[in-house]
Amino acid sequence: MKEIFSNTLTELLRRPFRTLVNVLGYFLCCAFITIIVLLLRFDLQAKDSVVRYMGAKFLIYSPVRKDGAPQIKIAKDPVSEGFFTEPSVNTHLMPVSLVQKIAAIDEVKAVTPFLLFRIKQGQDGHIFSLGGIKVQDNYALKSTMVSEGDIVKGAFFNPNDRNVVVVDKSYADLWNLKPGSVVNVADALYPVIGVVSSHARTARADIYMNWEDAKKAINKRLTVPLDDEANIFLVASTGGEFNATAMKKAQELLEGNLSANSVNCSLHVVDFMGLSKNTLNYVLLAACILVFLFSANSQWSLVSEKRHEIAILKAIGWKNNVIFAQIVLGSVLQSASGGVPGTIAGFALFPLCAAMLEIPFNEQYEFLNLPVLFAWVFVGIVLIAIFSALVPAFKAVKTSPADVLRN
Amino acid sequence: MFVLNVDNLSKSFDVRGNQLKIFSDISFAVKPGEVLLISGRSGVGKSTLLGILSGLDRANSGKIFFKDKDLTAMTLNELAELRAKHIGMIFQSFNLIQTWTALENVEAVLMHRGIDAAERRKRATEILEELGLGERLANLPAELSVGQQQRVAIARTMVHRPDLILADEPTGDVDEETASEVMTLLMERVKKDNISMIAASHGAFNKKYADRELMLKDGKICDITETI
Repeated sequence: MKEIFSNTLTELLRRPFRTLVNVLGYFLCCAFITIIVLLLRFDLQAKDSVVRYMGAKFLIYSPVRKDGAPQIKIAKDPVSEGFFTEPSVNTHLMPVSLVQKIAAIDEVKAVTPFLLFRIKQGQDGHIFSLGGIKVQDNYALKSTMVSEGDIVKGAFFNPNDRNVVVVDKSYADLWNLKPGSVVNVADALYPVIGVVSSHARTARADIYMNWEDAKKAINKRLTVPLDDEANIFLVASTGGEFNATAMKKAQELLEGNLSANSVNCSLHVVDFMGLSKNTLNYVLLAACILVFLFSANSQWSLVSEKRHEIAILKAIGWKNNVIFAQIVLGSVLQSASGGVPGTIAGFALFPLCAAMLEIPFNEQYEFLNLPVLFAWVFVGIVLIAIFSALVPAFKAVKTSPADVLRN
Repeated sequence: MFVLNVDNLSKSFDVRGNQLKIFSDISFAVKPGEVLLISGRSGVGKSTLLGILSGLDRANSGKIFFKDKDLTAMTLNELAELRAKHIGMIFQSFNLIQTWTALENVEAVLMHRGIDAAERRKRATEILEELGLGERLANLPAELSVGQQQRVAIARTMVHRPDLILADEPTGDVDEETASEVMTLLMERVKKDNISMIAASHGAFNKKYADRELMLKDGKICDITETI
C-alpha cells in the first residue's frame, strides 16, 4: 500500500499543471458548497427559531358558551371582572391537575397553568388584566408567555419572590410605570420589579404576579375562592410541525369542551421550512453531481491519456488491482488536497458572505458545529472522488495491453 | 524439460462477424538457454503469437506450458505475476514510458513485488550502468538516442532476471550499427544467464544470434533451422 501511495503521489507530481487544475477545481467546489450549505443552514435555523418563538405553542381554555353551563365562581363585579382569554372570551375554571394529562400528549413538550383575570382598579376604576404564573415552569413560560428573556427594564421574578409584580411594556407606557413604581391590585400595593415586552404571544396580561400572589388577589374579587384551579393552560409543543396535532389532542381531553388558540403562524412557517430543507437538499445534490462529473471527467481524461502507459505497465507485470488502486487513490488525493482547504476557505469566507448579504451572523448558531459539518463535507468529497474514479479505473483495468501495444 | 511448450495453438479474430484466421494448430517448444527466431512476413501473426505467449492475449484453442504451468488456465493476475517474475519483453518501438526517467522505467518492473525501494534502485542502476547508461539515469526517453532507448528497454527486460525473453522486432527501429551494438549487449546477457529467448522478426534480426528458426506462413509454422 505504501508503494501504491508513493507511486500515486509521484504520478500526480509528474503532471503538476493537470494536478493543480484538479486540486483547484476541488478547492473551488468545496468552498462554494460549504458557503451555500452554511447559508441555507442559517436560513433553516432562522426559520426554525421563528417557529419555536411563534408557532410551537398554544393555549387551552374552556370557553363560557351562550347556551352552555354558566361560570361557577363569579366575580364581585361580573360586568367588568372575570376569568377570560384573548380576544375577550370568558372562560371556565379547570383543575390544575389537567397539566399531567396535557403533558402526557406525545407532541407536548411543556405545560403550565395560568390565571388570567380581568380586574377593576379600585381607585380610578380602570380595567386591566392580571396574570398569575408559576415561575418555576420556566420552559413552558419562556416559549408561551413571559420569561427573563422578555425583560426590557428591571428584573424578572425569582421563584421565591412574593408581593411584587412585573408589568407589560404597553401597560407600563400607559401608566408611566418603571421598576420601583407601585401598582394597586385588588386594594393592595405591589412594587414593580420589571417591565417585560412579550411581543406576539398567545395570551398576555397587563400585570404579572407569582401564582400564589395572583390567587390571593383574585380571591378578593371572587364570590367563591379559588381551589387548585386555572382558567388557561399554556402549552409548548415539540415543534411547529406538531403544533396542530398537539392542539387537537389537548382539545379532546375534556370531550370537546376545550378550545385551543395559537398565533396560527406555525403552519406557514413550517411550509417555508420545508422549502428551505428541500432547497438545501436539491442544492447539495446538484453540487455533488457537479463535483462528481468534474472528477469523473478529469479521471477519464487522465486514463485515456495514459492508456499506452497503462498497457506498458501491464505488459511488464503490473496487476490490475495495483493500477485500479492507483487511479482511485489519485482521485482521492486530489480531492482531499483541494477539498480540505476548500472547505476551510468556505468556513473562513462565510462571515464575509454573511456581511455582504446583511445576514445577522451569530457564531452561536448551532449550524456552525464545525467539526461535524467539516467531517461531512470531507467524507462527502472523498466518497465522490472514489465513486467518480471507479468507471475510469475499470476502463484502465479493461485496457487490453495486447491491443494497445499492437497499435 | 522445456521452458516453453506450445501445443496446437490457434488464433483468429472476429472482424465484423467474420473469423479472420491468424494461425492454427501450431506447436513448438523452447529449451533453457535456447534462442528461437520466428520469422515471417509482416502481418502473418508473429506479434500476436508473442502476445499470446506472454499472456497479454488469449488463444482460441491450444495449450501453452511455461515450465509445466498451463498459461491458458491462468487468471489475469497470475499471468501478470508470471510476466513480472519470469518473462521479459522487448518491443520494436521500445515502449518506454515517456514521462518516466530511464531509471524509473527499469525500476518499474520491480515495483509491487515486495522489493525494497533501495534494492530496486540499486538493481536498476547496476544494469543500466552495465549497459553503458550510468550517466543517463535521470534522463527521459526523449532525451536519449534511439540506441540508448533500446538499451533502456533491454535493461528493463533483464533487470528481474527472467527465464524467457520475448522480443518483437528488437532491432526493427534502429540502424544496422546500433542494432549490432544492442544485440551484442543483449546476447551477452542472454548467454551469461542462460536465458531462453524468442525473437520475432521479418528479417531485420540477424539470424546468427538464433539457435533455431521457425517460419510462420499461411497460418502454419515450420522449422527451417537448416537454412541458418
